[in-house]
Amino acid sequence: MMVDSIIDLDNNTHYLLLDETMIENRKFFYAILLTEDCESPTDKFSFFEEVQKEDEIFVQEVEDKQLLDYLITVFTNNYLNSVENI
Amino acid sequence: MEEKERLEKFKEDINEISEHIKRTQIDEEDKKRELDEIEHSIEFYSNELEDLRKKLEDESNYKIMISSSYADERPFVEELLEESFEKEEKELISLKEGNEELIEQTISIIEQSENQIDDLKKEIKDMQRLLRKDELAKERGIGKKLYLTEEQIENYKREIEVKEEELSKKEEEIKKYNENLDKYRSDIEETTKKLDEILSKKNRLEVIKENKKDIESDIDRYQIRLDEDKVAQLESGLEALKNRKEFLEFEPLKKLEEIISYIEESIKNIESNEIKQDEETLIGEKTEKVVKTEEEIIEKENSVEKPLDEKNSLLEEETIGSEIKLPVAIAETKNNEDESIDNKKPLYKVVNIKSATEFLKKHKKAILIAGGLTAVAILAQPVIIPVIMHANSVLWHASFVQAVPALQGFLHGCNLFLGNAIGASYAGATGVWTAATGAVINAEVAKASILAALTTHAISIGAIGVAAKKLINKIKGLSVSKVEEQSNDENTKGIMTNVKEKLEKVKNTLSNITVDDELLIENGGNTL
Repeated sequence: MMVDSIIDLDNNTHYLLLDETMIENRKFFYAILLTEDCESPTDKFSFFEEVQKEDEIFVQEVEDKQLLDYLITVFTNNYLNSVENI
Repeated sequence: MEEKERLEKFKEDINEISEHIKRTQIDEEDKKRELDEIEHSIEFYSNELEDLRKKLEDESNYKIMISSSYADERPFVEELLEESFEKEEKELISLKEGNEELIEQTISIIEQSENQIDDLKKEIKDMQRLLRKDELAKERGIGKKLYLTEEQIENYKREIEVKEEELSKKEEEIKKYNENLDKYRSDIEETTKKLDEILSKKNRLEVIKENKKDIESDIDRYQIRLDEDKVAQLESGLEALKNRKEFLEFEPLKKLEEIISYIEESIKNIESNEIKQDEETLIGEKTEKVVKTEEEIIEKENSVEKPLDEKNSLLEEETIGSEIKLPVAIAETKNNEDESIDNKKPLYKVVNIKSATEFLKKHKKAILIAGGLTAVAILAQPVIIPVIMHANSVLWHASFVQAVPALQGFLHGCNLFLGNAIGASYAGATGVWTAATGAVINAEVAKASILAALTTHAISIGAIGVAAKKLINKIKGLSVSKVEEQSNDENTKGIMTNVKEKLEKVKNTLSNITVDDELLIENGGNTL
């Protein structure tokens, strides 16, 4: 999985991956939930961890608050990086 | 319990009631039969009630009617009674007067007799005195010439005896007369009683005769009262019948269906309002006013053409709609004490991955990122808010220079929302953040917030130190020269100067901060 991709999950939801980061060899994504037809964004945002199992890819929503705090810091930093170059 | 939950529970309860009603409902045939009977009764009693009401409206309906035979006989009876009473009264009066006359005569006789008795007693006494005087004179030999002869004495004595007999008779007569007198008085008393009775009868007869005259022209009030009572009873009975009819005709299940429908609609409204409320909260009360001010400024500035000499991928890839919704919220996060990275959320299998190139042509990525961070920061990490606001502010000015008003409005909305969360406010009139903006730009607060956030992360996760350092360094090295240089007119320059000043404050504050990864990790930020 990589940023700027749309992933379809087995619960019939679709997410746009906005940003990613690695923490201790674990990959996390900052994603936005899309509508059913994948045409529009919704107002729901999530932080996923990518989990690989037997050549299949799964995602798991991050629940731990400290981890979330960290991810927000990282993704805010990335956001600053991007706007700084404008 | 939330309103929505209460309504859901209410709906369940109503469904249960509906089921109960279905089980206990009256058989439809029985209901129809009873309704027919009730309608028939209502019609019958309504007619009777109407008739009675009409009758009561006119009092002439209640005039007393006397039978013809009674009307013919009655005067004769009254005359006979009257004549009889009068005759008897006369006889009694005559008898009474006769007795009264007898009493008077008897009293007179008694008086005469008593006078005679008195005279006799006097005569007897005088003769006895004379005899006693003669006897005394003879005993003492006084007035010999006056002495009574024996013949004279005998004559006096016989005369005394005669007088005494006469006296005795008179006394007997008086006794007898007195007895008669008592009898006459008794008779008078009895006759008087009879007379009173006759007079009473005569009076009653007169009253009857007078009443008869009244009755012939009077109204039967008693019957009116009876009819009025009956009307009240009929009205009450009809009311009961109508109530029963209404009860039988009432369809509770239909009514409950309507209520359930209403509840469902209310639940939908609540859900809709929740979304709307979140949106309103995000934008804040001041958003509309401030954004409008911003748009006015932008509109003014747009009259000056500005070259888009540099375009960033965040801005160039899409067409921005006139309305951009601010993010609502992210799912609520738990404050997990467990420091492990593992979490309990379910795993979802990724069934397909595709490129978002086409999607990102339509939707601006900067908005998605900024909006997401705005929403997430409020719930998950308030201390990072100043940083996000800072980034939003930088992006706002960039989009301002490149004349992308929709993005500006969105970013400004995000900052208002974030500012509101940490007590910062925006002065729409001057177009600058007030001193309270310190939560965003104020160096001391920003410093404390950011450092507290970063050091906290450093404690739990070693890698965060690197991120923290990078973040601080980014803020330190933030440049506004580009946006300032691109401003041509005085107004724009003024705004840019404000931005520059704010950024300089942050930079100056952060310039004294050095973040050592190892130090953060080892000391958990306590040294800061």
